[in-house]
Amino acid sequence: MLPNMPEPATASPDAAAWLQKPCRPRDDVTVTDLGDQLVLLDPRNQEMYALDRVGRFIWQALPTERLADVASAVVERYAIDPARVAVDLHDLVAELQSVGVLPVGEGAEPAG
Amino acid sequence: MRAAPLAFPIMGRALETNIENEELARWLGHHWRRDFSLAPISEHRIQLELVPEAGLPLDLAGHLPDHPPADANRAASHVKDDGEVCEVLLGSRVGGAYLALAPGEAHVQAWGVTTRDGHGRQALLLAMHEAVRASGLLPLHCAAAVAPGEPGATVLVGPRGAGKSTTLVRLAQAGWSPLCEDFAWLDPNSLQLYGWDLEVRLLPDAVERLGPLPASPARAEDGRKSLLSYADLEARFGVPRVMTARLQRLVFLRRPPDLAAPLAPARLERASAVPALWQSIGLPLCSGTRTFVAEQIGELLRSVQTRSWSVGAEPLTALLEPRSA
Repeated sequence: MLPNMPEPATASPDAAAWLQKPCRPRDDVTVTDLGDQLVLLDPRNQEMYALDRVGRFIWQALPTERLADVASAVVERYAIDPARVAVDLHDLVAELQSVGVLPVGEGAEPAG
Repeated sequence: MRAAPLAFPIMGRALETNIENEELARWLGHHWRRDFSLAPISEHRIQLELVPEAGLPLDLAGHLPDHPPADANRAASHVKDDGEVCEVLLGSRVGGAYLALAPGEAHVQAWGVTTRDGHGRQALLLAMHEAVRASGLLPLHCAAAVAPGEPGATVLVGPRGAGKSTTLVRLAQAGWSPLCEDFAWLDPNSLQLYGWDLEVRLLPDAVERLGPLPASPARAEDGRKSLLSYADLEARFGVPRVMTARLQRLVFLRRPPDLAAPLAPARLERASAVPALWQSIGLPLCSGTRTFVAEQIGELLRSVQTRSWSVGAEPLTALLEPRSA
């Protein structure tokens, strides 16, 4: 469902602040790991979302206190331009946030 | 003399009950008793206890509606679900079931199930289904058959109308031994499949394709499909039913409306197979079982041969290996 990595774009002025936000997947989201892809199942509506290789890596890096840490991990793992990673991470997280499986910001701090 | 309470193994899982009512015991046996005496013994235990309709503690009864829900399969209220222990109430005060899952055991209490058509029985069936599933088995809505000369079973999954039953008949025509037409349990550890349904349900055009039968098929409850025994299928095609076999291949069926070819293999995207398998398995009521199923789906798709078949309007037998003499 999620698109491939988009073309690099200029990060928004709020990007730096956004990257400081915590993020924690909803506890009841069920994950099917295919090794190189990952499929999320939202049990509330039985909708599913497929993540590609990089999306899988990002999901597995969650929960996080700061999304910037996830961005850094992606840059290190895949040697992608940091600005592009920031944009792509934002797009992915925003899409998963919009469908309700990935809360961001206040209340989404990692448990414990 | 009182009969002993009903007890029997379900694919190696011990079921213990306090049921002495003969009609209820027969009904439960119809749904859950199969001769899989060779199934490995599991430590998992399932206890089923009939309780008086007013026998539930008030704090539980308070979660229940007064009247039967319109769709018993969807109406469930969770009392507790922390991933390890799960308690669910199904049905209503009139008839229903309370399911408690914990590691290694399942406890079902049922009430209002002595009447044959009561909603309580639907709730009890669903509770039992979840109890068996929580023991580590996967329910598969599928058709399955063993090809001549192959050691394991080919499992056909797909949405309603994809052609599972029709394909099964065509496979039987080609000499494959049917394992199930609608439902099987799968032990994901051993990949052993247990054929569960008692008869084959076919649409009229599939029955016509069978040709002359030893006996006229009965009508299914829905009135559209005909019920055929596996013995009828064997009498017609000489292929005996196999009750259990190892899963060898998963086939995802689809039926594009414009496909003329009888059977076209297609590349299968594994990510698209995940929803198909979830649809076949169904979403468990409890989060711990959901996590287990998700892990097993991932493992199955990594370890088992998968195929996609697009089923067209023409018979596929020409594309299958001819039956060995």
